[in-house]
Amino acid sequence: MTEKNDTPKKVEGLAVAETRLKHIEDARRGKKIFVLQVAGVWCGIFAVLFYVFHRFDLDFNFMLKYTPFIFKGVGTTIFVSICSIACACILALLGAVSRLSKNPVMYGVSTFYVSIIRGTPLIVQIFVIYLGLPQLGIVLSAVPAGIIALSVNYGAYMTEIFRAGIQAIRRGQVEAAYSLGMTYTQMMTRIVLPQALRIIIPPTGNEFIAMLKDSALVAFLGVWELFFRAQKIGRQNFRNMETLLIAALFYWMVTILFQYFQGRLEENLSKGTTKITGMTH
Amino acid sequence: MPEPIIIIEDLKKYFHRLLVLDGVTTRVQTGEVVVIIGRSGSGKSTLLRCLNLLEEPQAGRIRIDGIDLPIGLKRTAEIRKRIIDIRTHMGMVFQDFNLFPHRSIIENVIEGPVVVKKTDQKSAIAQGEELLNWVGLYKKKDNYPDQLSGGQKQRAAIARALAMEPKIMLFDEPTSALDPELIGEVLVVMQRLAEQGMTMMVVTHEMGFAKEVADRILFLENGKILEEGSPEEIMNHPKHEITQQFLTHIR
Repeated sequence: MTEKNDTPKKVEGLAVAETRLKHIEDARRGKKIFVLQVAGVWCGIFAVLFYVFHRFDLDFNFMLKYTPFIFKGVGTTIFVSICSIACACILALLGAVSRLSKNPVMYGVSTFYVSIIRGTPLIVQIFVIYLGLPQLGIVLSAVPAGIIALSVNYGAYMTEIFRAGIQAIRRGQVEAAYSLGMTYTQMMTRIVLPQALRIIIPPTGNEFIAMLKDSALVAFLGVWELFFRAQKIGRQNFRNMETLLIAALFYWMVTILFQYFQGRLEENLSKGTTKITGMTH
Repeated sequence: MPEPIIIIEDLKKYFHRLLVLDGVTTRVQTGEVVVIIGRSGSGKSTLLRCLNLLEEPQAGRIRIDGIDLPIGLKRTAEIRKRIIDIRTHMGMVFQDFNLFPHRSIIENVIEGPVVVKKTDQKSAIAQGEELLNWVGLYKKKDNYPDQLSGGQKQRAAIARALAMEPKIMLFDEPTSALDPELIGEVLVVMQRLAEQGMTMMVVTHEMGFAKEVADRILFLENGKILEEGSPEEIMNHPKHEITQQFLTHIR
């Protein structure tokens, strides 16, 4: 691309360079103005929100007093989410490989799993696992039960992400691996999965960010995470709005934090591949 | 004469109901360079891909370097081992290179020896660097495939195949995806390989290469070998009208 841009007649090289600089400057100024405008819009929204909350007649002293108590739930929320996404990734990998397998048992189990989990509400799954397992003689405390439920649920959705990622790898890669004499396992672990991972990680990051919030559902099992703590204090003092807003703010902040990490991770992953820039709009 | 390194007998291959290979029979001697030509859809790529079982034929017999290919047999552990054994004897070069994009060039080259042959990393790298030097890519060894031109990619792919020290090299239209000015550098490497006595089967449209390097040309039409002979015979005195037509089109 740069070669084509550099082709204009050399005699006019200086003039070309100058006009191009002006171009860049214009673009830069345009971008600055856009950023300022967006900041303005955000400020406006904040003002409106502030006004609305003001009308709620919030007790700010109460909020300040209990913020540290609710904040202690952030750790549990992140812990539950990270454990769950890790297990979900393993389930999704197994699910996707089985889904692409010619083995009828593997294929059957995988398709059934995805179908039933995607066809039922997460809150139902959480209760079925928490209340059902003890009947089979497996008594779990709330945190592991919550992690299992979230993993099983997200694993099903992520099976589709993993499957699509694996299928996006071109057939030629598989053939090249086989022609070198690799086994199926070698081909998968060394050639296909490392490449599929690059495709899989961005949507998995999205799933993780969604899970940070869905993990609030394990509060119903009595896990002392963000939402549970917020509700507990809110109910005790008849100040539900205050505590819920604090919890919401923490969820938002944690999400922003992990979105930042996700961006960094994606940048690192683009090693060795041609970057596509300027195509986001 | 010793036993041919490749024996193909009455090979038949269907894609669903379409008969792509209709009883191909031929033999290749060690060190022979066989160029396969034919119109698009004549089955030339399929023939090549049957040799290392990237496609499984429905009937016929293939014997590579004394090992019979398991055709139509259930893939038990023992059969899989035999297939891998055959594949390690044969290097394959693809039309669109199929280098591993997440690995640098030297990592691409040592992948086969390290993973399949369990060669230790150090000697694999030494051998790989030698091969890259041989194809003129030593300086690019730490680059990634995306940073190379098409011609360089294909030379790297040849080095990757050679790293397995194959007895036979299969080339499936190795220059068809290349810009015209990059074709030469790949053909030169292939010619040098032929001069070193490598047994080669090459599907190509490069008639100049066929004329210079081939010991024998097969002309495929509708899944059959319509004619075969020395480059001189096929190119200057084709017996069939279809061959004549094909050759005039391609020139």
